[in-house]
Amino acid sequence: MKPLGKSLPPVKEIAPPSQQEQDAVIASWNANCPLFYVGLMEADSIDSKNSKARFLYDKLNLRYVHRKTGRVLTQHEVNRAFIVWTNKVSGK
Amino acid sequence: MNLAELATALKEGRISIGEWESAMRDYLRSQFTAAMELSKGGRNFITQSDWGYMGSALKKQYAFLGGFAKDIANNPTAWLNGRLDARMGLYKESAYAALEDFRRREAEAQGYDEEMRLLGATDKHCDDCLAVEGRWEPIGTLPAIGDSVCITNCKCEFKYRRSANNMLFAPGLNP
Repeated sequence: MKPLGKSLPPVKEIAPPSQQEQDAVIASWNANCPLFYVGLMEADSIDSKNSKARFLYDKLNLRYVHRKTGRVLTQHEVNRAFIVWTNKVSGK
Repeated sequence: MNLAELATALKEGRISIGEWESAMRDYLRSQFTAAMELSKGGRNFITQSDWGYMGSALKKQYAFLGGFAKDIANNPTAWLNGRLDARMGLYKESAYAALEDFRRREAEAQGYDEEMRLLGATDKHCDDCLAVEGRWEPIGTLPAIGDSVCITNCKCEFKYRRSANNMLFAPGLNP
């Protein structure tokens, strides 16, 4: 058995996540979220022309749109997807 | 390692408190990053200011975590059992609270000036949640998700609107 040891010193500054960290989070999302929501973190702007992304984001109205069908996602379903992902990666 | 595996590793003495705390910090960081991504419409829309805000929120969680780590180190008998898993679960819940908080901040930035709390689809509502649900109030004035007695067990959420008096936005643009 390892000695329990002490807690860590407090953190002074927290740097923003690097591109690699962001890539890892997005990969984790895509691998563990409910299937329909794959790509949600890689949405393009609703104003994008010729987007190939699965989802578009309407910043002014705070909503995601499924690009192929035009369906507006509810905030509630985005929250549900987040809960499913969190539970899966947390081991619940 | 996921949270369950991390708890087991600490209880079985395979990792130290410092290693456990470092892994928990990494876990929280990835959860909060995901919450920020989703609240903003994805990575393409996040600014340095947003990351700074996330950093402040994370710092608070790290401080709570540090206190928890000290408690475990000072009294391992009390903590290296099922209590550890239960308390670690609260950190998982903090990510949902962060998602709602980040979205609230974005709503305000986009000119939404009123909010309403909606009860989640569960029977786990505490009196705090029941007391504040279902009415429009100025944005930022209702208790944040996670500030109730139930923490986030209820899975309540906010919705937002631009009020009729908001001169910045013309009728027809309001949701």
